[in-house]
Formats: sequence, structure tokens, C-alpha cells
Amino acid sequence: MAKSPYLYFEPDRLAKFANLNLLARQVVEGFISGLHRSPHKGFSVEFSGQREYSPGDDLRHLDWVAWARTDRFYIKQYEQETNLRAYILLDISGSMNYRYGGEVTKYRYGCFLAACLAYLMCRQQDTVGMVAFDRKIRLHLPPASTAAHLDRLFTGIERLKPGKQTAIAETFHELAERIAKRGLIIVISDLYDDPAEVMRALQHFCYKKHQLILFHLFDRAELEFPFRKMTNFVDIETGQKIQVDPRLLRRSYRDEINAFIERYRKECSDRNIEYVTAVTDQPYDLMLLNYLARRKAMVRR
Amino acid sequence: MTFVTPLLLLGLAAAAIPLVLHLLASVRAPQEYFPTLRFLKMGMEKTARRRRLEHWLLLLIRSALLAILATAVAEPILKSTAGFWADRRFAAVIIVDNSYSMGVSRRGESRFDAARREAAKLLGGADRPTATALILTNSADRPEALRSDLEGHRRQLSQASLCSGRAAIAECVREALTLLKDRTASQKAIYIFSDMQRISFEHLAELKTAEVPLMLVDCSSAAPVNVGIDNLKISADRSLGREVKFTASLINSSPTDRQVHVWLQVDGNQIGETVRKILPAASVEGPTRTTVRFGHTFTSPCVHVGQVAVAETDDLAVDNVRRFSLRFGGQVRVVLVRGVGRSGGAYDPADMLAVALDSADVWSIRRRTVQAHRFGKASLAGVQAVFFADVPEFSAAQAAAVVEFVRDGGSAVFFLGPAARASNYNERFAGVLPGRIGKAVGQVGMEARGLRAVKNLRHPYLAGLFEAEADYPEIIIQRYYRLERLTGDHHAVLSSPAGDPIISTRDFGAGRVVLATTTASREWNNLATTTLFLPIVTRICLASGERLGADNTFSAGSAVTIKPGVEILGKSVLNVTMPDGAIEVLPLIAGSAAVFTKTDRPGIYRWDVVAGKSAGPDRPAGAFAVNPDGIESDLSGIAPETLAKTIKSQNEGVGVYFGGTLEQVHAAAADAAAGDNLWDRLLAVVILLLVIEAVVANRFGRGDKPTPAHLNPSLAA
Repeated sequence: MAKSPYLYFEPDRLAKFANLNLLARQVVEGFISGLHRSPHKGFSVEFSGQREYSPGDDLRHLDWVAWARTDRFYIKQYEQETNLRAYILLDISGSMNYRYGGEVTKYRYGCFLAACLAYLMCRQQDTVGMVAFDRKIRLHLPPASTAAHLDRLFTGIERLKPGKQTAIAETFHELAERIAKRGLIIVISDLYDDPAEVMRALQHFCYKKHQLILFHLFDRAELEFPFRKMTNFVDIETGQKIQVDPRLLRRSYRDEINAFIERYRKECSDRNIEYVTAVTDQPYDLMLLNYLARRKAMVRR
Repeated sequence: MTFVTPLLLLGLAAAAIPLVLHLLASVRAPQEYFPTLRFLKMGMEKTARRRRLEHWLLLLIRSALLAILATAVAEPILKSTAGFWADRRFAAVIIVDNSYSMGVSRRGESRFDAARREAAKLLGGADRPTATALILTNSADRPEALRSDLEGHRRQLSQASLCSGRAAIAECVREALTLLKDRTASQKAIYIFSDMQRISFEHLAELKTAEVPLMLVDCSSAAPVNVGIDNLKISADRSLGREVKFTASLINSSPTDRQVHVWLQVDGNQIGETVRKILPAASVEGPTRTTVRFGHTFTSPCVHVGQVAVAETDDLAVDNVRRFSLRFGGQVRVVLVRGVGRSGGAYDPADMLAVALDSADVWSIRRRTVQAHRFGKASLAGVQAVFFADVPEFSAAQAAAVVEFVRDGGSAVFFLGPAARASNYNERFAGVLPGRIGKAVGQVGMEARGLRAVKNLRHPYLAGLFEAEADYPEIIIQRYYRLERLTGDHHAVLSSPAGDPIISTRDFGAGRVVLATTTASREWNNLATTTLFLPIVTRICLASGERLGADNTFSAGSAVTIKPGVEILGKSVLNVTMPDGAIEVLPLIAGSAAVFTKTDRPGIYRWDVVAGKSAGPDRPAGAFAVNPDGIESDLSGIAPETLAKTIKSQNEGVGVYFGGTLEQVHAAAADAAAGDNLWDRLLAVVILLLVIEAVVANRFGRGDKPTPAHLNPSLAA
């Protein structure tokens, strides 16, 4: 098999997704007809459902068959299929550049994930844009679906380097204002910022009618805290040091991080945001496969 | 508590290992980069107090674990004195050494103080006996039975004082065994509170202690520093005008060499220079000794008091001074034994001697005359000197009485004459006289020529009578007995130009023999009619008086008979002023003597007659000195271990326990009892601690929540 010219793109791994389409869970507005359904109801080709007649409704869409059956007036509704407009927001802050014992850092894992998602969406004629950020936006590629665009996107990811500190909430607020048309926002981050601020920023996207998918990345060590000896822990982003006996603190640490994850999970659920946790010792293709399969099942229901 | 293998207690050092590991871990902690510290900080804030508690708890448990493990493997044996005496009727005899050696004092507390304190502990402690008897070694009062009045014993202890003499511990233990013999108590013991002075414990090992345990409380805290005077000898020839020699025996019981300065004091004045002496340190054989000599010439006939003293202070002050009291002068009782009677005044030697003796002051000499055939032992009672005036011969009994009299300190003065049988004298007084009496030489009569006697003006009988030698009268001797085989220790007062002694003296026993080989009358010489005769006779008498009872020095605790010397008429009372100034009033028995017994305190005691009519011109007064028993200056001790071993070798099975305090003695007694091995119990504690440690150390993991399903790849799949 020919080797990929891109660092973060592995076609053999993506072969597993060939028969899958990325289906938006909600109806998304789009320009290109495809598998995606338009939110604009009433004049498209595919029947969506019916509602009770209200004075002023166009009588051309009156459902006469329902009137004959029930002796009541119903108006037919239709959906228009449209293509997806997606943005991948990749966190490249210092905390993402961490690995303990595993093969890849969270940063590299996020890059692989972003590349795969971009390729998949381009392949089904959806447009995909890319934003990489730490305290500021370091890369911004507007959505497109051409092969040339995909090439620019891969090259852009390769040129990225892990940054310093994170300002997730500020960046998201800025992006929510900049992305005018609604679409699918895919966030790949460890979300090490104030959860309340982050959730407010995500709410900003929701307010702009975007659909959100949140890939929350972890290293296994962040979850298990496997250290045993007395250790001087250094914050990757700030350089701050703290001496800790892990045996005495492991329990409370795990309680705290579990609460952190649970909080995101619950608040995302409340806001209809898809929340996916990913651990870097889990193969990203397998993780993505699992996610898409689960998503497909949900759409069909 | 004791240990079977105390060496394993070194393992206690392992208790420090957890702490050391903790400190090392803190210092050598590795560095680890981590995405965020927010959860660590949050965890630390929430669990700071609990973690600190757990941290120290774990450290404590681990240290305790190792310490107890080390103690357990050393196999501790717990022995309690309570088990030895608890709930039993306990009879004890308490023997407290109150000899002078217990006066050794260090840091303000004497050995006797320590002994009383420890004995009081026994009487007031939890293990106090139910019945006791208290024996003070140097006290004449002895308990007759054990009693339960412990408070009375405590009071007796607090009032007890030191007394002179050796502490006869063996005698006291024998008395204690007698006291305990009939007691029905289930537990008996003899407690000895002593300084373990070697001389005090003589013969103790020979006792059969009847299995009554001996509890030796050694109150000698450390080796004493002491140089004492254990004896003072005063030369026997104590005459006015002659030098009296004082020989002080110094003894060093100190563990180091000691330099001391010794001086003589008479009547409050220092005599001569201070003498410096260096005594080597005492060795295992015992203390070291040396002597110091002083001399002093007494010139006035009265009672003189003084002392030889060590200038340096040490642990035992009582033996740093040795006192004396010497009486010079006083009334001398004389017996004049008349030999062959002669009439003719100056030709009768007895008459001449009687005149000379009676001419002295009434206070000085009191004469009594007996005939030679009536002379016997009874004639010498109460007499200091006896004069024989041309006694022809002596019976064996008479001679024996004279020899005994001289040996006891009396003076026998022989004036020979024509009647004297030299062979009888030589036979009866062989070895007593200055020489063997030979033939009489020289002629008597107006025509006969006499010899000019050579005077020994340095002799006390002649010294100082006249200012110049030329003033001494000439003594002409016409006839005398020649002395043969002279003894080496005779002293001539007068002698012939050829060196034959005319009057010579010889000390024999405690007394003196004066032999005049010529007559006391004018028959053979002119001596009796010169100015020398009276002083010579008087000095012979006074010197006798100085010797007999002149040394009024006694050991502490002894009874002193005070004799005023003259008969006191009517109701007579004597005042004795003791060293501390207290006055004791004594009645004179039959006006002639009083017995004083309160001589416990060393020092100078003065007495004077304060009531009654004296036969003499002045009221009699005097003094005597009291010294501690010199034997107490030998402070060499016996090791309790050695003593215990010796006693046990003689008394199989008997318990001898010793220590510096009562508690140590009781602990030693408890050691001998069966102990309780705590090994198994400590091991149980170790196991319990291991469990606790495991629980405390692992309580983090026990409460961990499982990894949420959405983080578990297998669940997610």
C-alpha cells in the first residue's frame, strides 16, 4: 500500500469508514443536495409530516386524504435534502501536548481525528473548515469540499505546533460570531479551562443554531493517576510546581476529574450537544468507528 | 523489666526508618510534567487535614511497628515487686548504720541522710512492712520485739544521730534474726542501710541467715575524698619542762593522691609550723597511711587541751581533728616505806625523805608512811609513787606488787643503804632496775674522802633549778653501790666521776623506776642536806602524778570517771560543759568521783565543782577530750556483689539483694522472682498494627469509583 504523503492522514485506516456517511443528527441547512436534510420545510421533494391547518395557510398543501379520513384539515410538510457545512475546532494548547506511557500525545491524537473527519466529510460532498487555536486562533480555513481544499487542510494541520496556555471560551465566542451560517461544529479539546465559561461559549454556538459535537480527549494517566512515589508535578502550560504524594491524593484526584467529566457530559446533554470522550491509548480509528456506528443507529431511530 | 536478648534492642533504631524514608522521599522527589494541576490542588485543598492526619498516623504506626517488633524479639520479661509482697503479712527488721563513717557528705547530703531517706521510703511506701523493728548499729538501745508502729520508727529515724565506733552489722543481723525468729509473717526480710564500710561487715558472711533475705541498700554514692587522723600518740614521758612528743597517724581513703597540711594547737595557740604531707591514693588493699610528729614543752602545772588538725576540708569532717587533754601537776599520793629504823634525824633516810615530801605544797604531795614489813599490794592503792628508804629486802609478793604498780604507771623510788641486800634486790627486781646492783664502794667517816657527783643538768629532775651551773650545790658521795650491767634505756641524774650511776631512772611499763645507789640520809653522802634533795624528791613525785591519769582523752561514747583529786565535803555537784556549750550537772559520788556518759560528741569537755566544800584552797576543775573512734577513718568499702556472693556461698538458697536505692533493691528482688515474658503479647500488637497499617494505607483505593463507562473503550464498543 502506498504511503500517505500526509503526516496525519492514513487511508488504510479510513477504509473502515468507506461505507459510512456522516449523518447530521439534526436537519442542517446546506447548499449542496445530498444525504443531509434541509430544515426548510414545505416545498421540498420529501414528505416530512403534517400539522393542523391554521387560517392563512397555503391551501395547495392541504392534505385531502387526511380530511377524508378524519374530517379535519391538515397541512402537508416537506423537507429539502442539503449538504453539510462543518467546522473542526482543534485545541493545540500546551496541555494537549501530553502523554504518559502511551504512543501519542493528545495533540497528535486530535490531529489524526481532525484529518479523518475532514476527509470523510469531503468525500460525501460536505464542506469542512478547520480552526486550530490555543490562546488565539492559529489556523483558519473556511469550509470547502474540493480536493485542493483537503490538501490545504492536511498541510495546515501538519504545520501546526503545540502552543502555550489555553483560552477556549474566548476563542469559541469569537468563532461563534465569525461563523455566519449555521452548520456542524466539531470541537476536539481537553477542555482545560473554566467549565462554566466553556459551556457558555458552546451555548453561544447553539444560539447561532449550530450543531455541536465535542470530542473530549484524555490521556489514560489523567484518568487513572497511576503515580506512586512522591513527585514534583509541573504544569505544562504555566510551569507551576507542586509536590504531592500520589498515594495520598489519588482518590481525591480521581473524584475531581470524574466530576469534571460528568459535569461536561450532563451540561452537553442538556444543551443537545454530542459529547464524546476519547482516551489516547484507544486507537482513534476504532474510537471513530464506534462513534459513527452509534450515531447512525441513533439517526435511524 | 529485663530482656532475654537485650542486644536485639538495637533494632529499635529501625523505628527511625519510616521517618528517614519520608524525609529522603521529600528531598529526592522526581519531576513529572502534567497537563493541569487544578485537580491536584482541588484535591489537596479538600483533603489537606485528612491527608496530614493519615500521613502522621501512618508514620507513627510504621515506626511503632518496627519499635515493638524490635522489643518483642528481645523478649522483654516483666517482673513486678508487687507480686513479691502484695497481700502478705510482711515483717522486716531495719538496720541503719549510724557510725561516724556515715557522716561522709557529698553535695549537702550525708550517707546517713541518704540511709534515713531510703529507710523512710520503706516505712512509708506501698510495700511497707506490716511489722518492723529498727536497729541503729551504734546505739545501745535495742528493740525487744517487732511492732506495727511505723510512725514511731520514722520518728526514731529522724531523731537518730551518728555515734562513734565500728558498726557491727553482723551483730545487728544476729539480733534481727532473733527478732524475726518467732514471727509468723509469710514474708520476712532484713534491710541494711549502710555505706558498705568493710570493717562494718566483718563476720556477716559467717551468719546463718535462716533464709531470711538480706536487702542491702548501699548509701555510699561515690568514692569518698577523705584524709583523717585515726590516732594520736603522746609520748609517755610527760614532764614539765620536757618535750612531749605527739605522733599523729594520717589515713587517706581517697581515690586520688592528697596533699594535706597538719598542725598542732595547744591551749588555743598553734605550736610550730604547719607540716605538709602527701598521701598516695587508696588502693584495693586499703587506705594509705603516714605519720606526722610534733613536739611541745609544757611548763605550767595545769590542764592543757589541744588538738592536731588537718587544715584541708574533705567529705568526712569528724576525723580531721584529734583532740587531747593533758594534766600536769595536781596532788600526788606517795607512800614512804620505812626500812631499818634508825634514830638520829639526818641519819635516818626515812625521816629525811618524809621531811622532803612534806615540805611540798599541800596540794602537791600527800605522804603516808608504812613499815617495810607491813608493806603490800594494798599499800599502793590510790598511790602514784612509792619511796623505799633502805629497805633490806622484799618478799616475792611485795616485789610483784611493786612491779605491777610500776607497770601500771606508778613510780618506785629506791634509796639503798647499809641494810639493803643487793642480791635480794637483784633477784626480786631483775629486769626492772636500771642495772644490777653490785658491791658498795667507798668509805664513810670524817676522814674518808668523797666523790664529787657529776650532775646531769639536762635531766628533768635537775633542769632549771638554778640559773647557772655553778649555782648548783656540790654533791659529795662517800659510799654507793656500783651498778653493773646497766640497761640501755636508763638515764643518770647523778653519777660518779667514773660514770657509775648514783641516781638513775628507767621507764618500765607505763611507770618509772628511780634507783639511788646511795642513802637518803647523811650516812653515805651530803645529798639530803643540800638544796638539790628537796627539788629532786618533789619532781620525782610530780612526774609520777603527770603520768598517772594525766592523759584525759577518751573515745566518743565511753564513760568518763571524773575525779576532782581532793575530797569534797558536803553535798557536791559537778558541772560538765559540753563542746556545744550545753551544761550537764552531775552529783559527785561520795564527794570524790562522778561518772559522765554523754560523750557522743567529739570535742573538749570541761568540768568544775560548783557545790560542796573543797578540802583545798581552790575549787577543783579540769577537762577531758573526746575523739571519734579512729577505726572509722578507714573508709574502704566492700562491694555489695562480693559481699552477696560470700554470704550466698555460706548460706545456700538465701537471697541477698542490693542496690543504691530501695527501689533498686526491690527491683533486684523482683528480678529473682519469676518474670512474665511479653514476647507473645507484643507480637500480637505487631500483627494488629500491621492490619491497621494496611487499612489506613489502602483506604484511598477502597473508595475509588470505577472508571466511567464512556471512558472505557471496551464498554464503549
